[in-house]
Amino acid sequence: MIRLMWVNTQEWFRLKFFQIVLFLAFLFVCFSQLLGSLSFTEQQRLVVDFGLAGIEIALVFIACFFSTHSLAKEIERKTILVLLARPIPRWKILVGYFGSLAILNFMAAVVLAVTLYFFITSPNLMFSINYLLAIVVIYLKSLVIGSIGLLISVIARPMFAFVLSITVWLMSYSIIEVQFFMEKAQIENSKEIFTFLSAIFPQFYKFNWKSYGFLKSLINPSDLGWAFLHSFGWILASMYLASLLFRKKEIV
Amino acid sequence: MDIVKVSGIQKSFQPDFYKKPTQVLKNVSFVIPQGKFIGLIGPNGAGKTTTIKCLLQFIFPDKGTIQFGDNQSFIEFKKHIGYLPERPFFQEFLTGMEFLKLHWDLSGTKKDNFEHRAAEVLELVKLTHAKDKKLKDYSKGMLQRIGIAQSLIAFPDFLILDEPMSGLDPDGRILIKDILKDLKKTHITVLMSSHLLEDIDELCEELIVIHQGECFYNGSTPEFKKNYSTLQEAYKAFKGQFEVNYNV
Repeated sequence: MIRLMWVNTQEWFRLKFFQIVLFLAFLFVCFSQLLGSLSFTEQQRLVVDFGLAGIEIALVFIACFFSTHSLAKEIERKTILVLLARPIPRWKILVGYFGSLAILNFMAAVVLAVTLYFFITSPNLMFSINYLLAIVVIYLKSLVIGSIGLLISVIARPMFAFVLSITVWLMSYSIIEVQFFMEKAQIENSKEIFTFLSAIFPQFYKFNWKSYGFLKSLINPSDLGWAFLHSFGWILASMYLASLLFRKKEIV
Repeated sequence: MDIVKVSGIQKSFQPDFYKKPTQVLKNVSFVIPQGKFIGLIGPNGAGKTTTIKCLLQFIFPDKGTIQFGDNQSFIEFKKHIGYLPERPFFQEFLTGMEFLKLHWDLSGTKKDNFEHRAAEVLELVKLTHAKDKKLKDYSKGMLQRIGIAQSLIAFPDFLILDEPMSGLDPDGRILIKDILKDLKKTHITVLMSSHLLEDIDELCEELIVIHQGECFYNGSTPEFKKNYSTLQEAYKAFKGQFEVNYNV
């Protein structure tokens, strides 16, 4: 499985797509510095808010693309056949893809986070710890979306799966707004609809710490624990479901 | 001893939900005896590749059973299988050696002499000189040969080769045939599907004939061609008889 992970990572790392997304994200983070310099009083806020948003977009984009295309690509090129003929259970192949995604996004997160940190002037210790936690949480969110992308890609075509994964990511921040509008519009059963949406989408809005305001104050450890458990729960559930579906998938 | 017993497998495909399913395998039953070279023959669309895919559980039969060894689990059975797909599409960015290492690791073999084994199989397929070349720089014949090397890397007892000589030039065909002749001396079990009847005639002691999704013959090659001098003639006669019997 480790070998499979490594081979997939090598393959995707060499892809122009990954290199271009990483380069664009790097430019985006650098651009946050330029944008910040336009302001006299809110320079740090602009740099951090804009930069962290850029990092999350880049990681989620890589996660969505990688997760929804890796299996489909192998099936389309038929390279999966010789892998399936080997004495490894099918779920290990999926875990191999997920592991590669985790490695690739880790590399991207490190490069982008270090670049952005370089633009932050005189951060204190608490800010630095919070900044690190914010990056870790962004990374975890990208893995959650990646695992959901893998799950969808087992049953859907890659581009459709890609669009659905992006939708899941957007919805995971927007459930709370949907609830707000439903209550304002006095829609019947809005509570039940909200409970249903909360069950089928991750709740990223509960740990959306990629802003300067949050990083200046202490992050509550119980919130942090919840964020980790929530993310790992989603990853495990998605990977388990994906494995169940992939077990019976016919590779024609 | 039979290492695989296939009993009455059927398989249909439905290209789209609104289309009628097409039955590709109607009733396929055969046995694969140990230590033999078995040819799987039939025209295009007869169901040869579908049968192989069912054997390897890439797809699952709608009906019928496939028994591996002494009721071994499929994962356990796969430890003894080597497989070469119809078209040799492999991870192009790997070198020949890296590709073999990947399959060595995936096969989970406990033996720890990879370098020695890789040298052995590369020598067998005459690719020692290209072991450090990337697969994207391999020719079609070389890819077919490295494919055979990967199928052999983990000391398989049973080799499944899907059209190993299709699309090769005469030199490539001769080379692959020589490799298969060498393999024959090792008493490994080989199931080989092919359109090239002369090659099957030359290599295979046993034959499975599939036509329109049904298995019509499973037995020795000399028995199949007993009244004819070549397999080609025997197959032609079989087809003629088939067309008369089924009014095709």
